[in-house]
Amino acid sequence: MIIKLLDEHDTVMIGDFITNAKPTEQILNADKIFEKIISNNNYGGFAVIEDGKIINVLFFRIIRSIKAAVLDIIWIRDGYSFIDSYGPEIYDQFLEYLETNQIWNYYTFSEKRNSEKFEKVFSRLVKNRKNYDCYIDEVLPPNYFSKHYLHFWTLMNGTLRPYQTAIRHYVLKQEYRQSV
Amino acid sequence: MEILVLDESYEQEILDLVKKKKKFSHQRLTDEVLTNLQLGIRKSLKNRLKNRIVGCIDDGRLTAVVSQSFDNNYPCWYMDYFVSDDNSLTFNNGHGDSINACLLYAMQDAESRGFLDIYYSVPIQYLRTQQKTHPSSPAWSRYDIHIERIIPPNKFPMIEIHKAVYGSILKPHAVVIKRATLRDDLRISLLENLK
Repeated sequence: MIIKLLDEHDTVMIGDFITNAKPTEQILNADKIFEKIISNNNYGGFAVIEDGKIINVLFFRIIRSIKAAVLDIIWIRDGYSFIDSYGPEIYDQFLEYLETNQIWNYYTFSEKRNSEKFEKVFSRLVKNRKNYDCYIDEVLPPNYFSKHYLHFWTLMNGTLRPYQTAIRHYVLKQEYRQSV
Repeated sequence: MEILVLDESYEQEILDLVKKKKKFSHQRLTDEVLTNLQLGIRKSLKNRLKNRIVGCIDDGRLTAVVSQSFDNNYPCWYMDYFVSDDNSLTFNNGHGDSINACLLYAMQDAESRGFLDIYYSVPIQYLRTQQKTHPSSPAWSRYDIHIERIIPPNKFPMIEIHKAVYGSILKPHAVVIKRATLRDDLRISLLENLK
């Protein structure tokens, strides 16, 4: 198993992965996101590769003007679960990438403000989660857009969700910032 | 003591407040600094949506100002500068009551509109002083504060938001870019009431 930062050489593998990933509401946009990854350095993705095929992918984008990241989406090959197929390892790589590039803030979202399901998965997913403080930046009612672009992007370019969503903002604690 | 968002009629009073200081942001008050500041003040007093100046009036006199700029792309605002006619830091409340009142107004009004992060910069010489005064300040103690970057002397920052808080005049000293984030426990009721 290897975890690698995706680049243009992974086009064939990602094509195979997209056709075999779990069908979700966003899957149709997967190829578009990958196009952005290879043509635009504001987008990136880490993939877990086993036996020459991608098992899961974590896509992110960098918001350069405030030096922050948005965790875009995680995709999993159909038949696999993220946690059991190197999910924590891929998440660690993502955080290491951010810290190496001195990006101290990242954003993601969860269903509801206090999402037990999210906390349960997240606690298994991120080994070093205690290195980060979490803040809820905004709570959006079902089918509601955020007026702030950053939050709009965090919800995957404003994908409307039929349930309450919370914008989560993770901040690396000062003592873990290697250099400022 | 009255706190209000200042309009164009306060331009001279703000400048007079600044001129009372020997230094502004750890720099001598040269003509260049004053001209730049005056341009910024005019812009803030005219616009008042994206940029504004919150002032404290005490006994009919302007005693402190905080300059506040909003960024609609990100839910944050940045503090360009603050000035107070109170020089003492011995009150155990930061820079004194006037500036704290201005800051609290600026922060709470921004929070009510969903702006929960603040960027600001300080000369590195003031870093330790702030670390001592912030915990007892009624305004800053509500925030978790992180150092985002230290900009070396005579260099401009590279990141857009850092450039905005650094200002347009090159500083001969190192500058610390900080980010203050409203504590999560103070957000619960706030987020429910956001418009």
